[in-house]
Amino acid sequence: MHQSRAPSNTTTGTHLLRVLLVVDVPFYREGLQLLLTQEDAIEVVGAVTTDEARSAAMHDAPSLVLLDISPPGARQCLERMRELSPPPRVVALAVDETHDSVVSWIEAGVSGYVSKNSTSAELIDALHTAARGEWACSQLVMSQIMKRLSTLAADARGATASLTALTARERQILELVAQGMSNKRIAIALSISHATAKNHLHHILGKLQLRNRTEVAAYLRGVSQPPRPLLPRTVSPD
Amino acid sequence: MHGVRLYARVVITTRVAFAGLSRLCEDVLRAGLLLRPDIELIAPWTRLAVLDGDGAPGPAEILFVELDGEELPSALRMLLVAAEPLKIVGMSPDASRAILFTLHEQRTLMLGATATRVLNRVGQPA
Repeated sequence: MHQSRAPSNTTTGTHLLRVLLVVDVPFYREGLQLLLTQEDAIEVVGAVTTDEARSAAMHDAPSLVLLDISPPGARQCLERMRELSPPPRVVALAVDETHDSVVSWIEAGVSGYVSKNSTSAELIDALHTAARGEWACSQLVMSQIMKRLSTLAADARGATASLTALTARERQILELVAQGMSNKRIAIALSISHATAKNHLHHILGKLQLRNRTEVAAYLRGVSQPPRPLLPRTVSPD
Repeated sequence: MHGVRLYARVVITTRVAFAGLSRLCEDVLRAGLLLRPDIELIAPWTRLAVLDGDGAPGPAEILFVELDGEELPSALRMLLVAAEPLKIVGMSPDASRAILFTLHEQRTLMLGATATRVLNRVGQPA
């Protein structure tokens, strides 16, 4: 049930955090509304399902959305929130803290990630943290983010190290492959035989542990254009 | 009667305890209990009177647990046998479903349950 309220100020002068709850499961939707309305510094402007979220956000202009990311429609709901002007910050409320889920939702643009295994006090703290523009998450989530960043950095270092294993001639040929040139054109450009060009490419593929020239191009894009996404774009948490 | 305040005495009809629920789920249920002064929270759950096995009559006692699926683990089934008339409410991990287990029956208490409604249901006299 969508319940809207007019913006209000407290007599104490504290800044109210206007929160929209987007939770499909009634237990948490009503329960969290009950919990958060007991907080002086928080105003729950609405408690709605993912289907009702966009219109509620447009109507109530929350500064922050607590979004349950369990329902299948949660990702689309987040995208709709991000289309609003100005977009509210969104904190993800998750059942679990699995690596893929955490990283994927971070990439999707949430400002915080709170597990249902957090206490209500931790949840409230996370909401205030996100409202300040800081990232709100548990130590476990943070360690997963750090682990992922560390892996990416190691990958980048490994790619650079592989390139240094190439000879000057091989790097020259690699550059031409990256430009999309065929072996025949490379041979002409470097005044070498077609067989030699082909042989060089064979060595390059072996050193870089790649299978074909398409992978070479993709590899070079990865080396020259960091950062890559934390996860492949095809991975979905839903 | 000026100057005299009368307080209605709240009779405890039900005692509830939580074991293994997610912390947020537990906090939501605790918040719901604020609206039900007739339901008493027992913590830790091992202090439920029914576990003493003295068979003395008293308020109904209900243990809330988190449950994957719809079957009660054998250890909890044994608890039902050993501590009758204990009731167990199994909450699904996303709290979308609550199942009530007694020694003799199992029924889905509520789909799309709210803490208030669950507590209202378990707080009803048997």
